[in-house]
Amino acid sequence: MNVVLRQALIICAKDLRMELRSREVVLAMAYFGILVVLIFSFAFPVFSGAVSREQVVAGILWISITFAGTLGLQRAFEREREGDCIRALLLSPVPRPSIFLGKVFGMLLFMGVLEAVVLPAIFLFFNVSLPLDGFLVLALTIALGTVGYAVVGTLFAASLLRARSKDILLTIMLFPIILPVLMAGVKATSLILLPDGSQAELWVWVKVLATFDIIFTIVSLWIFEILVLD
Amino acid sequence: MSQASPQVRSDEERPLGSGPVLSTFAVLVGLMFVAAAYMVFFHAPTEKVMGFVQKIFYFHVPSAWNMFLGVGVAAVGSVMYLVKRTDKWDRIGDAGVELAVLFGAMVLISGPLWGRKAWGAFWVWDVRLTSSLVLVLTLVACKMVRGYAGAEAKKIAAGLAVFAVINSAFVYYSVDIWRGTHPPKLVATLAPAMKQTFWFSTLTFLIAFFVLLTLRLRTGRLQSALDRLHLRLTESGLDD
Amino acid sequence: MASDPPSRPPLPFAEARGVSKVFGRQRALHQVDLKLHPGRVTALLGPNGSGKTTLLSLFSTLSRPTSGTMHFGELPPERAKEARGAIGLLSHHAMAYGDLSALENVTFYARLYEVKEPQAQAEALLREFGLEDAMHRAAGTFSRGMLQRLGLARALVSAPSLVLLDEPFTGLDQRSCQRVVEKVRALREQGAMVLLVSHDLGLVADLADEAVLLTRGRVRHQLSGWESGEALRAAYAEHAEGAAG
Repeated sequence: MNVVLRQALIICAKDLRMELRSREVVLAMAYFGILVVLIFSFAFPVFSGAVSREQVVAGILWISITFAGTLGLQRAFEREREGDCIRALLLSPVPRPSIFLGKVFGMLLFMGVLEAVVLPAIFLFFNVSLPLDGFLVLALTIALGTVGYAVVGTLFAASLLRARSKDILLTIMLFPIILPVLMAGVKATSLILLPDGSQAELWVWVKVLATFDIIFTIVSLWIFEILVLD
Repeated sequence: MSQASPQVRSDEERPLGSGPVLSTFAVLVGLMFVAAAYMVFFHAPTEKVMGFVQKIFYFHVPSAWNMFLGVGVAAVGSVMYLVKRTDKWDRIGDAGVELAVLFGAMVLISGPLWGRKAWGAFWVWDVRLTSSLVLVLTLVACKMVRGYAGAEAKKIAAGLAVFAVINSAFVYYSVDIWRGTHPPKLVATLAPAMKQTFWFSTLTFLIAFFVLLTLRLRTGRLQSALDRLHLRLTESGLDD
Repeated sequence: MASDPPSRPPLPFAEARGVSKVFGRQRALHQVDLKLHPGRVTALLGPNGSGKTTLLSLFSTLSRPTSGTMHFGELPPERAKEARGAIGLLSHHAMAYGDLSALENVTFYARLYEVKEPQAQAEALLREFGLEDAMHRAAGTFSRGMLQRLGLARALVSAPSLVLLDEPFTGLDQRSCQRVVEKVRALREQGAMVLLVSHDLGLVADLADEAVLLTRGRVRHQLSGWESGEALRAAYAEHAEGAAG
């Protein structure tokens, strides 16, 4: 047999053996695939009748926030992990909520920049125009969604700091939990963009986002120290 | 090494026992499942609108209730583990997660079979099925965390389980405002034979749940006993 | 003087009482007793994998014993974390952010410990470890030995009364080694407790007041008052090699 091919097969057999032992890649990939199907189903709710242009725009906005957010979370915590800085942080007498909130504030800033770039791009590409009050409500919706996302994401990323396979586990843990944020965000955004969107329904979704933020911030603050400490 | 390790907690040292009571219940529940299946097909009348497919209901609803029971056990076990950090609570939390996934899977299989007849499609984003799906997926993520995360997996899995339970309420509410298609709660309006069948089936599932829970907790206890034995073995083998 | 006397009351002692640590099926520590006293340098010796780093992390409060208790002064063991402000840890990792300069790194930690004049303190310590020229360079560009010294400056910027040093001499040249030795001596003079993990028996013989030999997670031997490096070396050889065989 050709040497190149033979050696390639040896390497492939090694990969196969490792995968059969841990079954990490295939299972995680399959699971992630299902999650993506779910996320797109909620971002583009074909099931509730014909999807309007506004709903597609809203879906694109929230999907880009969701996926770009995980990149930010991974990077922000990779910095703490490099050189084991997080241990020095945790060893300091700083109250644990300060560490958690500090990381959350950082994520909010990064995600704010991301949204400041994505939002005009979407307005431009899809020729969306909004009156000022509509824009303010949209900003509030995005802000509330971002807070929920950053809180849960920061908690999960922090808990995975010293874990193996942290990148894949972050998305696997995070995506199902932020589905309500995605749903509420998409629905609220499309109601804002629709010329005749129901205001009453819009505020229901904004309230869902606010409740999510409050409850998960409290739970996260409680769990943070337990998860990060030994 | 002649002396036993003194730092082993008394709770863990309890003899595991072979459990004649458990075996009895296991046999009983097996027989009850046969009886339940018999009642479903021969005792309960065929429903007028849904026809034969309605019989799924006798297994679907008890499965869903068992799933909630499993979620309850998972929630209590996980919260207590996060507070107390003892292996016992971790095992309870893990057992709850596994049972919730098991019965959740049964709900997710039987639900669409019903839906095919009732709504003309296997999956119509019905609120209860959708929130069950998200819940089961999150609990599967708990199991994956346990498998992959390494040394800290127990804590992370327990934390995620807590989030999963709270989250399912959000998902339920959100899908509910979004849309609503689910058969109304039928139990009160059933014919007597249907009711008997349904409650017998529910009882069977309930006993099955506790038999499985006990079994799973025993397996967990045995596993940690094995770990401790292994620990002592390596130590006595390597020490002087 | 590089650092002010600590603003928090110093710990009167730190002690491990019968601590064991189990990771899954591995026992890292078994029934270890060790008490540290102010103004004394305790060396932790032992072959690789003998549990030195695990014991150090118990003393850092970042990990909890599976059984047994850790005592930091009069604090009850469950409140051990309140001792954190008094602990300085140098681990295998530099614990420095690669994108920040050395000075920014140390100043950041000084601020977290609410050190007075954080930047001045950070500068003074970095000078003491011979990093005055590299102070404004990103830590990511540092060599192994420079990172080690940066780590020391970070660990000591809060003027801790319990100093945990995990192999502080690794990767250091002669001159830097000497600086660290002097710093440890100064810390002892100031009444700090120093727990030092090192494989350099010569330096240990020189610096430490007592030495504890760990093998396979147990305290094998406790030494003090050795006459020379040779005496310590001989004792180490006898107990460490003997246990390994």
